[in-house]
Amino acid sequence: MVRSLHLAKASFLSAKRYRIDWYGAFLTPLLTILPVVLLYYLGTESGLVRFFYGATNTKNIVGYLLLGAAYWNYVEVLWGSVFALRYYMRIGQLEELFIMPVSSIGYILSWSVSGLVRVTVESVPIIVLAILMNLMTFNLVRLALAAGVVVLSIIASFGFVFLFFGITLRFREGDELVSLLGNAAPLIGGMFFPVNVLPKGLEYFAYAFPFTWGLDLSRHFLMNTNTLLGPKKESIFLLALSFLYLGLGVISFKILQNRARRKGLQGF
Amino acid sequence: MMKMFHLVLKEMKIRLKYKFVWVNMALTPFFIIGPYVFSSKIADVNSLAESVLIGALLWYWLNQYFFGVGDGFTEEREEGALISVVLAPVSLLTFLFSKAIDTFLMNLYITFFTLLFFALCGINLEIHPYFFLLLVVSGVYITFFSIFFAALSLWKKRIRSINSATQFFFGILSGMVNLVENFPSYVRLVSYMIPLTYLISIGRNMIKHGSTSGFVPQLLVLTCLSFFYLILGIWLLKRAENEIRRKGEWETW
Repeated sequence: MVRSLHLAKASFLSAKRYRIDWYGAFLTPLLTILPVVLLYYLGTESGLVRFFYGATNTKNIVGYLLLGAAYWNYVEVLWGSVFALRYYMRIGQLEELFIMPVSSIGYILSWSVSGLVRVTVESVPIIVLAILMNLMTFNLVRLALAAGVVVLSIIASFGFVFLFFGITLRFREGDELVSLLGNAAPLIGGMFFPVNVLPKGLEYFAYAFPFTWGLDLSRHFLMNTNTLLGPKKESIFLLALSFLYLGLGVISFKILQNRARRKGLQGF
Repeated sequence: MMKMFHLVLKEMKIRLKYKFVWVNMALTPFFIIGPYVFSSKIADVNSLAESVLIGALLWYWLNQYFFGVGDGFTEEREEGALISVVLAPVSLLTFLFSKAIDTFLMNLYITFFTLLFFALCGINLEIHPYFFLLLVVSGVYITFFSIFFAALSLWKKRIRSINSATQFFFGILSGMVNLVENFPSYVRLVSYMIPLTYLISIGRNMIKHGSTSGFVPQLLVLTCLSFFYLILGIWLLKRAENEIRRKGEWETW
């Protein structure tokens, strides 16, 4: 644990050396939602407002999108561990990683902690903007509930990290899977609009995703938006899915890691 | 030309080894541009979704060129192989053009699946022969623009950290979702300096009117602008190359 924290500190300190990386990481989520904000302000205001008010009980589309971006920053940053692993594979240092006195889980934890610290710094402006946009619709209790939902979502996210890490060790191409899911997540997780307007196939897929419920609940607590199923049912779904994914992730990670070690980790 | 062909073949052979890359490339563009297209669809404005789809698709082409060509030296640099590229009897420009051809082929693959998935979701683009001409022109001119970014990235290594953010800036300012005419005049000034603006405008006119009438003036401006970026890019590339040779920094990143 101490070694992992030292590693986290080391990777945070090296990340600190390049300020331009932080600008890119801070701007990208904001720029991702900007096209929809522009759609709203330049030409289609009435249509989008009518839809959002009917479907979500809010006219605050910008606040809705900002909360989505802040939430996804936290969920997705953990998946960066897989890119870190792939990076070490590519530059030929994977074997060195595995002969170090740090376990794979130690690496996952260190890269995740460093990612969480980074994303917290990067997300401060987004979170402040989101809070300012939704100042009238939440109180401290609702803020605490929303924070609890984010923690549960992070637990679920760890489940995905373990699975992806194992796949990368065994099949090398885990980063492609993370990239695909990371790119699909904003659409199927409801970052831009409620998932019930998606084509049916995608909508059903979205319901198996814990983050769909996590984001829907966070918005409900912070913006008083309508939920898809009701807060109680969604909380149970989120809790069950989070621990289910975590359990499946840990088990699959152990199996895949053992197979990868047996087969040999050389090459990429 | 043969050297370029061999490099393209090499890239393709490497990619063929990684099967999941193909699945990712087929699905990812749909998910990335999907939020913009579906948002425009729920706004209940007729034909807006098709207009956003063509804008976002061409932006995605730029996105791929900026990663494939604009960021073309990064992977070699990280793996310590950039020095081999420099020592090989292939110029850096030829190396970048081979990446551009490879990106073009991948973009055709991506476009096919993206249009297919949107068609399955009820959003269709009327495709006619000129559409393919537009894709070829986009490929050539966005390559020129990306070479400028590649030169910048060779010169200032960390520029790649803002590659994604830069692509979004270019996309938004080029009218990926909104018509450029709706922007304030000072924003439009910047928009008209980006080649993608003209490509999106030509693409939208083509889809809306089913013809290429009236696109010649735009194509002329686009051609001049793209060649300007190519010349600037080649000059910057040469300058960066000489500076790195002088400092002996081929193996640093």
